[in-house]
Amino acid sequence: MDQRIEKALEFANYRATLANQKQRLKEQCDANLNFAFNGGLFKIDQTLISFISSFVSAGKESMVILDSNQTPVEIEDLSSFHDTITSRWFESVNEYNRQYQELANKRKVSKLVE
Amino acid sequence: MSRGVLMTGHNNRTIDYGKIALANACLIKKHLKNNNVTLITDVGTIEWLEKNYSKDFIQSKIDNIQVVKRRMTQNSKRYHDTSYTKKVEQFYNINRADAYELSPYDETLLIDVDYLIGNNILDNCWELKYDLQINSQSHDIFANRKMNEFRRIADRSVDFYWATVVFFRKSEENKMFFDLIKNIQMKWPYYSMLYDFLEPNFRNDHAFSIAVHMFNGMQSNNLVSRLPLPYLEHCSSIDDMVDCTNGNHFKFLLEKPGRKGDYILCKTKDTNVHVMNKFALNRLADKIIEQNK
Repeated sequence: MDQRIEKALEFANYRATLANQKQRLKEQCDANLNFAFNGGLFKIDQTLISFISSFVSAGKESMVILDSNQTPVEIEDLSSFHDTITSRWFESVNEYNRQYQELANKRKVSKLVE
Repeated sequence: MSRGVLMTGHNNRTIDYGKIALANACLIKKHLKNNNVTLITDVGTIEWLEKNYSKDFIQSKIDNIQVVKRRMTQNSKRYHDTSYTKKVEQFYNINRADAYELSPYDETLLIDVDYLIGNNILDNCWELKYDLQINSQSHDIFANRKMNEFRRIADRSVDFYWATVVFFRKSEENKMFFDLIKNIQMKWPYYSMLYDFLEPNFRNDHAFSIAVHMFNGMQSNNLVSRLPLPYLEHCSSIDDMVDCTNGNHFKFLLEKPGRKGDYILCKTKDTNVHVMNKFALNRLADKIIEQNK
């Protein structure tokens, strides 16, 4: 095979592996952002954090919110709930970012799956 | 309130489900908090397992072994080992419907032996107030490969639910749910016609999907909750699992869609993976056991 074609195919393989590994990291982060609290199931995202933040800032101490199944769940200590979801968020997203940056610097298929 | 993980594994002539169950029990002990493990199996499978591993070691990983009679069935299944090999074998692991009666726990996490546990996310299921948790979504670990067969049980039928991982608490309602599955299993030809998939062989996933649909009042809604995982993750039987390290790093060769024999390498870390290539699992089970003793 022409060497140029061979190189291009090798690069294509690298790109396919890189794209798939990036997707793995995203899905791992997605899974880590699922959270059980007071019997309810929550997906921690920017919307949930800002929604809760706005009530904590307004001085609300407890409230009822809807979980991922649209079931009402009572949150008795809103401030502690807010702290828990934000720390879980930072933990998961920072780890996602760290691993993503690591991947971006790897230039060989073998390094991508090390 | 007793809590634990329940697996069922019956060997056939080719696949050593007992060994795979032991490997997964090692991973469960390593990653999950509620890691009491019960294996439902048969005399032949357990005797074969005890030939290869000491009784003490097996008991240290599988707390409770329940021996049941392996039912003779005409349920054959095509097992692939990548695109190059396939073998038709008997599939005996069809006693999921009995899990309710056989489980010694009040709260049970029922998992397939080939669903490798790589993290502790399933610990959350015990904290949820939902008495029945089952997922309808699963993602292929090869992001570019979309398999429509896992969206619905047939093109014109109901949503697909995975019997691979199910959480249930013992309750009147859940008893009804498992009785319903038994009924579906007993009248399989009727249900396969009614739900329009005409599959002669019994499939746990299909039976659970029909039961969820019926349990939901013949509607598609979220009365049955998903597990604390947004989706399960799986690879296909045409892929190969090639390595495992630390009990949470798995490596796979994933076949590119439409390009037989052309693979990409994939590594998963801290991820639970449903490995459909049982031959590959058989090959790696010893290594997983050795690493996670």
